[in-house]
Amino acid sequence: MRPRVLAAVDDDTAAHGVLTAARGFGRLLSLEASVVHVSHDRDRAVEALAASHKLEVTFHTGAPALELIKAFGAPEVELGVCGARRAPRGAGPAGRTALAVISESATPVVVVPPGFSGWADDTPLHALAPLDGTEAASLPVQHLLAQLATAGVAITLLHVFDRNTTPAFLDQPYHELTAWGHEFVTQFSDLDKPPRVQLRVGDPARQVPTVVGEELSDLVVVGWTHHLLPGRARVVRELLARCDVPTLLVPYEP
Amino acid sequence: MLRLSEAHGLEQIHETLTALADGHVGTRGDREEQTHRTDPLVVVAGVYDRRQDGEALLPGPLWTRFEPRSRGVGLTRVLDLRTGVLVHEYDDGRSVRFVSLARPGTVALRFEGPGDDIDPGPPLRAPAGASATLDTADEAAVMTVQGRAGGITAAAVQHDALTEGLRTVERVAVVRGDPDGAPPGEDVRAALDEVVAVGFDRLLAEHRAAWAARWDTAAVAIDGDPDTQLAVRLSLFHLISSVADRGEATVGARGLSGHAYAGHVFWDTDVYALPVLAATHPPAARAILEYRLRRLPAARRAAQRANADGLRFPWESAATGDDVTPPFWRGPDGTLVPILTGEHEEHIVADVAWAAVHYATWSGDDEFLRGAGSELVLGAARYFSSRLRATADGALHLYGVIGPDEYHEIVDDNAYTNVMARWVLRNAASLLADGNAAQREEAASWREQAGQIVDGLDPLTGIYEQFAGYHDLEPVLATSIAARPFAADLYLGRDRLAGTQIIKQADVLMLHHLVPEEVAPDSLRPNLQHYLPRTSHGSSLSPAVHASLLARAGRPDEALSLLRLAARVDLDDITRTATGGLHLAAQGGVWQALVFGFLGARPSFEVLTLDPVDLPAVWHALRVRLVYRGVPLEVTLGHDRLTFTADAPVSVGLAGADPATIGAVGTFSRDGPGWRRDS
Repeated sequence: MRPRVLAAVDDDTAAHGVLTAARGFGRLLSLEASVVHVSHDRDRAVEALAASHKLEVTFHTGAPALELIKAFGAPEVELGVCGARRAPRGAGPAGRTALAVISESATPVVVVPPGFSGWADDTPLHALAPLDGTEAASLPVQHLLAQLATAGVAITLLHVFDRNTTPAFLDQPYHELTAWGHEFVTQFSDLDKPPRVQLRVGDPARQVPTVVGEELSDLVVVGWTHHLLPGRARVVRELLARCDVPTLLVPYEP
Repeated sequence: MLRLSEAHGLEQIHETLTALADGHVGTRGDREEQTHRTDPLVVVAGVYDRRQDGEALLPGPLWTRFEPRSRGVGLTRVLDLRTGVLVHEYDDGRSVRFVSLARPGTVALRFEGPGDDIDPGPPLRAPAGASATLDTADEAAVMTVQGRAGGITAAAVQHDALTEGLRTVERVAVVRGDPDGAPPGEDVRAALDEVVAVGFDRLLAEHRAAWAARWDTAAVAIDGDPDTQLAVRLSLFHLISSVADRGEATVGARGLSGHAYAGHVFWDTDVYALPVLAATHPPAARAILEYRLRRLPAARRAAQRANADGLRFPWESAATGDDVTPPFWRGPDGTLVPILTGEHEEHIVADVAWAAVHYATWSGDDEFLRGAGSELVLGAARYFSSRLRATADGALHLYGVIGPDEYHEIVDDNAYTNVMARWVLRNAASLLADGNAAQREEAASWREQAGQIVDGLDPLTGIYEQFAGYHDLEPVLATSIAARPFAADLYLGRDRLAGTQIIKQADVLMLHHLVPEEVAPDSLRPNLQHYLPRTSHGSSLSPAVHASLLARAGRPDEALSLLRLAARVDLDDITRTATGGLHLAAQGGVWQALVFGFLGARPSFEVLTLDPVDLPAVWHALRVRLVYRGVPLEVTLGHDRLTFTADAPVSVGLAGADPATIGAVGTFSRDGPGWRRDS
């Protein structure tokens, strides 16, 4: 089968946004898009919705999270897409199914906020890629960033200085941070055209979603280690809770 | 030798570490074949472009580039510090390149190897994003890059030969720049013809000889600590490379090695770099001062704008000597932050005057200090004299300044600024001592003012209050916040930080480092005790100064720890900004820690005083070459013995011994707290 984006939908108001995002990423990454739905019976509403997006749908039965993880793990699936939660548009923690899927899926997953209505056709997209300044976190996202860049998406890297990553020296801050940002790009980006870099200071979990809004980002690309234990993955949790644009989670083993 | 094997992510750091320069032209150590991971750069000192975001060094024609290869090849860079030659060892050949110290502006490279995958392409290429004009005639290429202010013209020839399977590509180029516009192509072409006639091998031999001559009066050896020795030599190499020794030397904070800091000039040059050159190659120190002298009109205008007399040197300087400090920036918390250093960091006025006197004292160039150089000191004195404000008790104050510690802005009676102002007034008064009546009257008023300046000293404790009210701030120690060094302004936030006693770098302690004769006797230890734990070392300028002072205070192993930190700032990319260029101030500070710190070398017009202190336990000996008043000399300090050799008789004072004129060799042994001459 051809490489594809696989969108997981339910018969709720979030489904339209999920399918829109799936088609969007399919175009960006030159992947076919299709749909998967988990239910006891064939859901005609889902069928109709998929048809309206000109997408094929396959039906699975079983525990939704497990089935979706299995479906996303198929060899031809390069990207999974699911909704963040059922709730209507607005902030809120990600739903249990979404959390279960993203924490077990070895395939990158796009998590789509409720109410997402797609990107404007005629304006270049802008992706924000928060990086913590480690090679482990930056390497996994490089390939996807390169693909997005090739598709014309403008990339901005974001680093948030916290207590653990404060620079040792800051001679003249306005010069120094410019130089710091330049080096950050050379170290953690392999794109032919150097991306922009934004630097912030504070709690990354609070700052990253804020910058998404400030930068008017259309999507977020972030590497993460799957660990959803309490207190872990705070940036990912906040992104899924607060952002109104899709977040592409790229898993990696620490 | 500095040997660096290229690895992913380190490419541009290695380019910085192996940058070559001759004081006029700088070239980063980029690999010959183009890849998107390199950041090639050729710049000329003092040649700026006027961009929307301000002045920055103008990138010039690239003379090191080859066409991209069909496959990746490994690269090891070998920088020979002794000869100033950079060798690139590829899997399939090697290149040798140099930027001639003997003929500034002349550059050359030779590639040799099987070369089946090599395509040198044209000898000159335009820098990325620049428009350049190119003329080719008679096998030579002449390229001009014209910015909105300065321009750079390069002329180059290239020979490409294949002999019995060995490919040899040889390029020789001349690079010239002018701050007012690109030099004419025909002039640069004529200069090229001259050097082509000399030939690559002879140019290389001349260059090696020039470096040998420089090291003859600047070499440092640390017996027992090869890693620190290499780091120190690398620092010295780059400092020597970055400063012209004729005309004027425009020495930016990152030298000629990268884009960072846009080639702008700070007190780094006057206080950190100049002392090294004053004591090893005085013409280069003189050229640094020439930069300031040629910008006196701008300094006068700035003083007038500040409703002051004399000279107000800019905090941040570029082509014209006008202040180029930006008025604000967007901080990492997203807010717009005003930048106040340009308007308030006035100690730069004293720093320039100090540099002029320091140069004259080491070099013996009394004529400079009585002539052109006097303007730098007298103008500084007039500035401070007009800035001082009296209170009812007759004390004189300087209000609203920023000291070296930039964590506390717009303070009153910063000890460093005030005491340096006092030093300037006293030295300026000395210069006018034999003048006419008006000058003697002015000198007398300066002496009187000097005696009234508040310096913050508590005579009971010996501690200088860094500025009025400093002791009332929250007594937080930097050592209790985080492992040092750390940028406390990012860590704590500027507002919180300003309410604490945490400081960025040596402020009061800079006085003990630069003008120990101007501070209270025996006040080093109490001020070191007080301020060192409060110092976050958030500036790369800080560790070396503290290393020097810890050495002076008899704490050699702690001194070594900070010396190593300073010496490895770029080698270990501690700042995470080494891709943008070398830290010249840290490099100069490293040398100062050795010479002012461990050797305790202090020149006067009559005698060179040495007050050596204990060496770190792991060092067997420290050997330093210097030039004092035109006489090359070498000092070797061991744990119990000091050997002094000079090329001509020189007057040396050693703590505990009477000043003596030493002819060829003098040896001294420890005698209690002092020294006894053996021979």
